[in-house]
Amino acid sequence: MLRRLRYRIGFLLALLLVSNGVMALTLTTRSLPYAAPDVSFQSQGKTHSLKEYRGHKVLLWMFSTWCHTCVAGVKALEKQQAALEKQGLLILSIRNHNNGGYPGPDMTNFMKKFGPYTLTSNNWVLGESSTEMYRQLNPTRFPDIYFLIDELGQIQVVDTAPNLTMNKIVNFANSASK
Amino acid sequence: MILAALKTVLDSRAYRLITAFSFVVFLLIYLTTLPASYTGGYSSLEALEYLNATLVGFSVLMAALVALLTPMIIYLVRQGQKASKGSAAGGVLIGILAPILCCSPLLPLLMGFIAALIPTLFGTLGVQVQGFIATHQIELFSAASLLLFVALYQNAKKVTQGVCCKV
Repeated sequence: MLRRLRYRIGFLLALLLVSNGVMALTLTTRSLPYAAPDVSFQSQGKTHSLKEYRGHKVLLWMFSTWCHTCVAGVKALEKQQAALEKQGLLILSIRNHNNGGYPGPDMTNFMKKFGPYTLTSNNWVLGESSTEMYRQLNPTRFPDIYFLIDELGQIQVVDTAPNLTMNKIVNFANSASK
Repeated sequence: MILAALKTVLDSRAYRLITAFSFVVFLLIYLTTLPASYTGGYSSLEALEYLNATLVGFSVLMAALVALLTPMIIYLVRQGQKASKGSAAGGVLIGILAPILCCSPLLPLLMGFIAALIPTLFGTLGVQVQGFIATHQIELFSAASLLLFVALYQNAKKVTQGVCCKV
């Protein structure tokens, strides 16, 4: 009986380790870098294409407004806002199509609550993903995934949770232009 | 009844030590795991940054319940009685799994794999589950605490009933 209890506690600890290990798995099956697909999103009633942003370093962040890492991500990005804007990083904050399949606040209310600076900032673009964009860039339906795209339209980094991986974003913003 | 059972079990120094040790271990586990929904499912010391009063409260409550349950279960087993472990295991698992599964790539990866085999059944289930967990965390932690309390009550009952329930 006591041995079984020890096994169960061991199982619990193993579960924590495995979950941490799975989190380290790559979020894309493609090898980096690769060309960003020419997909579109809606922003302020207009349709925009990713192609329009060629020539800029872009952080394309796709998230759902019900997700906790997304709240932490907005706050973390807002903290780094001055440095990222200075380096000319364009932040495309795109809500997953259909909010990732679960209801939540709309983009404006979400940003008003957690990152009000983003609504007036010059380097932030807020938008809604098209079905095609969601299907091509986020086929596994992660609630929080971002892409760092260089001036040539090449995706250099794919990761999740900007609050935890801010060093990658800052390094990309600081990297020499292509 | 719970107090009487605790008095019986914690009369021994060894069980008091087990209680203290379990409390410290589980408090650390809960403090680093409950805020994991803000760290993409990582339970690490980084998660401590995202603790708030509610999460600290639930961490202390659940760690205390587990710490009181553990010596009681060991006591019952040593007495040759059958301990109630189902609700205890359920409570611990819900408390730990909820923040890990919410907002991490774990569930979408798993569901993506299953969806490849049975697309109609599991295509959007991962997102539904994650969304539900993310928006009902307090309710899930309350349910986990309730299950732990039920387990404490069930085991306390067995301790106070003594050897009459020996299996």
